[in-house]
Amino acid sequence: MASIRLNQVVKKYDDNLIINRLTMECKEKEFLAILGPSGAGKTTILKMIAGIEEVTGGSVFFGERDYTRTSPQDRDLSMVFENYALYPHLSVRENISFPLKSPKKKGQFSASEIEKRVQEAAKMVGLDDKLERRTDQLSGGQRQRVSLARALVKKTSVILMDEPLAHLDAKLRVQMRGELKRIHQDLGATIIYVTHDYIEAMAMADRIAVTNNGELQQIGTPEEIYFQPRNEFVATIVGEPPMNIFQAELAARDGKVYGSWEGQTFEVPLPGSFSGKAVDIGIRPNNINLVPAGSDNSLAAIVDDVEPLGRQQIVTVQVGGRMLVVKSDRDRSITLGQTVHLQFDYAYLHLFDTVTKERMVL
Amino acid sequence: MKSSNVKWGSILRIAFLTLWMLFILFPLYWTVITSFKVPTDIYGQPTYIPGIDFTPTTSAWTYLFGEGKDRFLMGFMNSILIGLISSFFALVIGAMAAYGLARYKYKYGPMRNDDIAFTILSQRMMPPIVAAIALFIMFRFFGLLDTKLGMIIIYTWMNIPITVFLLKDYFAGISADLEHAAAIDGYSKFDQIRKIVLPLAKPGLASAFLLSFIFAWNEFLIALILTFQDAQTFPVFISGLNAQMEPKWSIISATGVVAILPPTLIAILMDKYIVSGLLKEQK
Repeated sequence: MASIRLNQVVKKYDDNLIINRLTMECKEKEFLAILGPSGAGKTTILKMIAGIEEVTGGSVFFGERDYTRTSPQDRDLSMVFENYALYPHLSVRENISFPLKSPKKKGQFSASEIEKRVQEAAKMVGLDDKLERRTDQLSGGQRQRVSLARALVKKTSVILMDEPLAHLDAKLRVQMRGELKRIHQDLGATIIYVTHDYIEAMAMADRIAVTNNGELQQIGTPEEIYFQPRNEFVATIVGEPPMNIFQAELAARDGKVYGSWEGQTFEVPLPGSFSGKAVDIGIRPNNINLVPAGSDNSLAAIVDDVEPLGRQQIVTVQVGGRMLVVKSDRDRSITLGQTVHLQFDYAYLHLFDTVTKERMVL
Repeated sequence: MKSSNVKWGSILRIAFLTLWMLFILFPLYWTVITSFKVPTDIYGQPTYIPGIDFTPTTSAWTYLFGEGKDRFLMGFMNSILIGLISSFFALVIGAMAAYGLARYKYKYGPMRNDDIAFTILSQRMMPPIVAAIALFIMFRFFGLLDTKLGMIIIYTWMNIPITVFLLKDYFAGISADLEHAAAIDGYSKFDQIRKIVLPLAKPGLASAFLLSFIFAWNEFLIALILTFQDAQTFPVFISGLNAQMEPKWSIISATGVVAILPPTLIAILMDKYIVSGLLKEQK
């Protein structure tokens, strides 16, 4: 019942097209992350599912029922807002119990039932000792938890979350990631989670929907998104540092295909029919190895910058006039201005069309 | 070196504020002592300290609450009634208009939200006297001359621009996401406003009401033109004291002191909302 389906949904503000013919489905009890840069229309998608924003065209289904014109109070879902949207004139307890006391639910819950549910939700987010506080006496992390508890207290089958962890500090964010995942498993609710942070999406979601400029780029499991990005946008939004993408000219020699880039050549695992064409080659920084001089298929590069990261390091190198980023184990012998040799791990080479930027299927 | 600078700075500041306070309070003080003077003390040498400069007398006050009680009380009650009711209507109508302007986008021909807000505010840009003759003729036509209803309508009209202007920004400052959250929590639009928006807007509503009341309480010109007897407001009554025979300054002063009380009382009653509103802004 609690699957959510968007069918050809369009959203316009005045004449600005925000969402363009979006079709996607979130299955029942699924944790779906909507990932995209700011301005991608992620929050708008969420607000249209909630009914806060009206759709300009298309339809929204909950299960088999058309909810396109249903107002938010009749959709029976909960939502965690990016800015928490706590009611500042109410205490933590009143905030959490607010959904249970709505006129629609009048008479449905006894006072003791409300109290029990509030306690339960507050305990789930670790706020049961702060129920009498005013919300402006809480830290950002605590407010976020109140907002989460308010969403959990109704026990709806659908919970929408709009960047709920964006304003937390790094440590708390990691902790809350684990808690959200646990809550999802405990409640068995359908969760749609909007974020611009690919790590959050990868860590929690069953599936990820990548959006950009109001269009769906790819929807799939975290593995599919990471290992088989459908286009260059998806390829660069997951992974840190982002995937290197450069254009190489292909030529066949001795039955093998070689790519040439910035005056250097290296073998590309492609059939001979690609000879004479250009292709966008994508390779993640951790799939480039530093090898000794004279190794097969290696490219010479000059070290431009080294960022030590404890056990690992990020090395920016220059190949001709272009930059490549390499992530490798920490190696103190690498110094600025030094010439190093790079080898691509062919198993993780991504090929994209130079014009459409779409993934090329071999 | 630095600490002595700070010290001099604070001394100068205190000295300046003291002077300023004296400057502000002196007219008030003068009004109060004048109400206890006899005409010779008023028209003679300036006298400043009761009991030393002049002998205080309560004759003005006994006149107000004795012989002159009826007209005094009528003016007072008229102004209270007209002020409270017109401020209430200005608040209700103004709040609704302000909420609409803050939350929705309107489009009437070439008019957008800002143009509508400007049109409303522009009602207060011309001097009221410009409309006085027209109002007089209109009021005579509708039989509203010298009626409390007429004055309530006039002051409501004159106060709506103030309440709309004040409350539009106030409502805009309340995040729309709070209403969205309440909608998702199962509250209808009406309940969202009742449970969320109005409680949060209390400081703004209190300020708007107070300003409206003060305006209605003090307004003189239009009241002078449109009321004669039954609906005469307090300011008109006070100025009337001046017009009969010689000006009775002690009675005028005593009435003036009374006139300060209602707005002060309302300000004190609403103080906690206004102050809590200011504190919230600072966070």
